[in-house]
Amino acid sequence: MVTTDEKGPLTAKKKSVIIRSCDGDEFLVSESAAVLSTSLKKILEEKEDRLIHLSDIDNKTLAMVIAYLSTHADDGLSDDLKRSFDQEFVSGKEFDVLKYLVLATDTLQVTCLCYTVAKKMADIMKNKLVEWVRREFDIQNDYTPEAEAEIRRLDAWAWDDRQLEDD
Amino acid sequence: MEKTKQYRLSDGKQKNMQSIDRLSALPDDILCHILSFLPTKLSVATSILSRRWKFLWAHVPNLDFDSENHGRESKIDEWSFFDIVYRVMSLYKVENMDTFSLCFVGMSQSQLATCIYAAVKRNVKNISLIAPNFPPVRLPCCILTCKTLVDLTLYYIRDMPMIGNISLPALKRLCLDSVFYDIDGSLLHLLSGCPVLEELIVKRIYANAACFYISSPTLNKLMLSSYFDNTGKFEREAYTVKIDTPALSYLHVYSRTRYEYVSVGSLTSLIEADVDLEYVSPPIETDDLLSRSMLEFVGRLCNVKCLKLSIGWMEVDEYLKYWMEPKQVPTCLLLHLGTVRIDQFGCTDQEFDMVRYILRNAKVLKRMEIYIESHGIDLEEKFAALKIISLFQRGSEACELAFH
Repeated sequence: MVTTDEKGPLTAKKKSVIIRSCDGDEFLVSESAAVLSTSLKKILEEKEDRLIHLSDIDNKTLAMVIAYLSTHADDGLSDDLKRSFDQEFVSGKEFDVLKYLVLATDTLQVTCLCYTVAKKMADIMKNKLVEWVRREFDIQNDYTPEAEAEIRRLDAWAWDDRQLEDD
Repeated sequence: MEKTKQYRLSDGKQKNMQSIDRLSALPDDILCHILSFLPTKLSVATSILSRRWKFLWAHVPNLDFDSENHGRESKIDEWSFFDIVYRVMSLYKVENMDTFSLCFVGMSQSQLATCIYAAVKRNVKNISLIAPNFPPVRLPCCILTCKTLVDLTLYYIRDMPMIGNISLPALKRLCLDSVFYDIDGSLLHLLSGCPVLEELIVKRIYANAACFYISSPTLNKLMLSSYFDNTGKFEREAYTVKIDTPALSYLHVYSRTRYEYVSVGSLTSLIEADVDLEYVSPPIETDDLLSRSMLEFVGRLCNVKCLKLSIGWMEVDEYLKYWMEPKQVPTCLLLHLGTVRIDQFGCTDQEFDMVRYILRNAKVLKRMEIYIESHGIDLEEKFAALKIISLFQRGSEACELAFH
């Protein structure tokens, strides 16, 4: 449980955990922020050790997720402020950065952030060309020209405007 | 306070290699999550990306169709909107779907029923049916016995059933916008089949009925925003909205008609009320009834902690000449009311009387916000009003006054 400041000087200091990224950087995070991630919460319940090593999240992505968690754990901020923080958080980020974020938030089970990031990615994908999406998602087109033509013929209605069409 | 350690920038090239490795492993469920925010048309279009993506869209938990998105060329290819929905539903793999959104014009009644049935069979949780057709389409019956439905939004639908089986055991939120009610009790009948309903939104009532009943023992949030259509064939003289919702904690009443009377039962659980009434020009003969029903209504707000009151601007004098002090001070003023906001304050004597009354009698008021009407009141008059109000006696010493 999180100790509150009003309890007196002895318990006033908030508990912290150290989270280490896959490239070895360590972040000091308050426990109240860490437990907003369902995965970190489970780990903290199971072990005494205050050091958590995340083998598949890099330092940049982890720093962003921790900034999000710390903001949302701050009782002094209103829900409105937190909502506008969320919008600000994803706006202007490169698609590539969002991909790391969505993967990290899925691993750490930070449902709200995962939702916000996935939605932002979908918004960016709208009105993009097929080649753009292939490039950004690192997709190799493994259709034969005949197979691709067949798909286009069967669901012709899906490509009848400028969304997701060829260059 | 948390301190985050400065991270070092890793080598760019190495980073790129790593990114390719990891992202080729971006799992299907994350991709489906991303696709769930796209209109279904676009999510199906991703099947062109690669073989892995061919049927990814068929596992997305939401389907979102809008006939507006299917433009002229689809007609050349002879794909009707119904053909498209039907094809998608027949290839769709999800057994327990989240959301089915359908916004359309020009689908027949039986085609609509087919689409909705397909969603109900897939244990859908949320349905949004927006059908701005004329004449409006009838509500497909199979919606009304959907056991898994949690959230239902209907726009421009007719024939709310008066009889017949309604069983929506999981429904928590119901939004009815521009729905046509033929008979007095049709909404009441619908609500009787929703045992766990928590939130009800009723907008733009089209009714051939004189009385409109809302009754639910579980409802805690009600938004009633009705501007009755009295230009068309549904014209009526007046109608009453009767509300019987003992568990209500939030109430928003927004009315833009002179013909509506709100009559409420017990509201002891209510802690937040937002009342916004604009009577454009109350006809003389209904004034008395109107002001009496309003007084009764406000008198019921006995435990309200936050009240937002907004009154009409066109005929402020007409309306507020009926401001009269209640015989007994409402309990909510005495014991609970913490914030009052008054919009469109027009600086009339009656409005000053009302503010004086509230300030004098509200014993625990923390803040009163007054927003001056934007037209016809100059700065000088505003200052004069502020001066008058700040001298009023206050029942709560801690009360702040904010003037905008």
